[in-house]
Amino acid sequence: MEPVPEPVLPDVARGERAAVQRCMARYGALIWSIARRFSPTAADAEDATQEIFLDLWRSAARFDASRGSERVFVTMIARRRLIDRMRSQKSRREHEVGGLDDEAAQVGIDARIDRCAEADIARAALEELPQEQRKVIQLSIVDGLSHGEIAARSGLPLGTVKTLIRRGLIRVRQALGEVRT
Amino acid sequence: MSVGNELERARLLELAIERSVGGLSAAELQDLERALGSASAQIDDSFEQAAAAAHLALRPPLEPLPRDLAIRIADDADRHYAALRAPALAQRRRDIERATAVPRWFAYGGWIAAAASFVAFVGVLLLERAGRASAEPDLTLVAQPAAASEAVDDVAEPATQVERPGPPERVARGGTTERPDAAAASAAPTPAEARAALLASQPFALRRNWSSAGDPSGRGVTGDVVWDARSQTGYMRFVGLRRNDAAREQYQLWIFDGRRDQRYPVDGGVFDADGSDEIVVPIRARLPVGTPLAFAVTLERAGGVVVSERERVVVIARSS
Repeated sequence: MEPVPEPVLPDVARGERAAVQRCMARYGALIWSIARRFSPTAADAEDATQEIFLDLWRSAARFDASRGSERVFVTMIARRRLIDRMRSQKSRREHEVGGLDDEAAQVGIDARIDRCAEADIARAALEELPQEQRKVIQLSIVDGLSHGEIAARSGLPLGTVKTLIRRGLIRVRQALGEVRT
Repeated sequence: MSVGNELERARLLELAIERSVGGLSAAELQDLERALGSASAQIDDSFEQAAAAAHLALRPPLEPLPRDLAIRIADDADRHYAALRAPALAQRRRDIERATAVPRWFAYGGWIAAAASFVAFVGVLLLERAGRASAEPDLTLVAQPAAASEAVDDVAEPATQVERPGPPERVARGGTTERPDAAAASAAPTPAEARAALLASQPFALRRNWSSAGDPSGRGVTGDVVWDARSQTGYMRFVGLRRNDAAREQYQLWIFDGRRDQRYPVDGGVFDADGSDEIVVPIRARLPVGTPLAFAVTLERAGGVVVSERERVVVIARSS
């Protein structure tokens, strides 16, 4: 596994311009790619990406390396903003992903890119899940589909979709050792 | 734990999971906020972390961040941190002004005031003639007046960015610019070295090629302009720019800023060419540049001008 680089967010929190540049270089593609998946248009994704980076500048001081990797923290900030935007917009994009059997929905667990400890743990946990459950989780987490959209595309009952997602996330959370009651 | 508490805990858990995957409606989100208000325990973000980790484990290939978007994000960052630093900078500025007020105002205050007054006068004349602002850079080269609150020396590095009229860049053979003294020459990088370092350290720096603008002096001239909005630094590289007679005429750069009235480009400094095959010249922007739309080099009388007649536009580089 490639070495994990030193966190950049502590320097970002101090307003160091070079750190801001490093942060953009390190996470720009990740944030942009997530925004593209969650946004109905490229313009919307651009707006979202700007908002996410602003959130990142504001939240950088809250990053705690003892609680998780910087990459997961950044992804969490991005997802939170995008989920808020989707909720407030109310109109969902026309997702281009297909049903469970479509190639797009079968984008595999890519172990070659973007390695971090939590992603490896999550990957191992997800690999233990049935294929159908993993696909449902992918449609929800990666493609940003609502439970209803996943039910419509997969033909699964809405309650089943919710259950599969919930159990999958609980499994990942347990694997990460983050169980908090 | 009571049954009521168990139910509340289970409901919070459910809401936390749904929140992490965007499954909460607005009403459910309000439920969560109400529950958080009544429950003593704070809901944690571990499910959001789990979703983020799963996202990284599952996600499809990355797309590179678009360059224009990266520039906007960097600008956002500059504004964000400038706002955070504003109180400290204001104090720092007051300290600096107290320490330097007499010599600086004595030396430059009159020049700045005169320049601003003159430009304002010319601006009024142009407004009367033009009637309305053009949406595109029209190469009406009138320097942007230097408002006191906006001058370059008001920003973070007053010791190195003080705006003052100075001698033009003297370009030496071999693509470097002569330095004013030997001691500095041994310590500071050449413009060519500084340009290379800027390109290496700032992957999002703007870089555009020159195009001839019609004047015979610009025929066959190539090269590019590099500009980093964050550090407000940049370099012009010319290949084939003919030697100018510095006693009679000099080259002058103008920067069209999308955040300013485009009839009034920012003066980017006066410089000379010595006829070398390739030269690199630092940009000396008199004002902060927000969104550069175009860079234009003109030939002006020795010493440069505040208002260009745009009779001799040598080369242009448009940023989009």
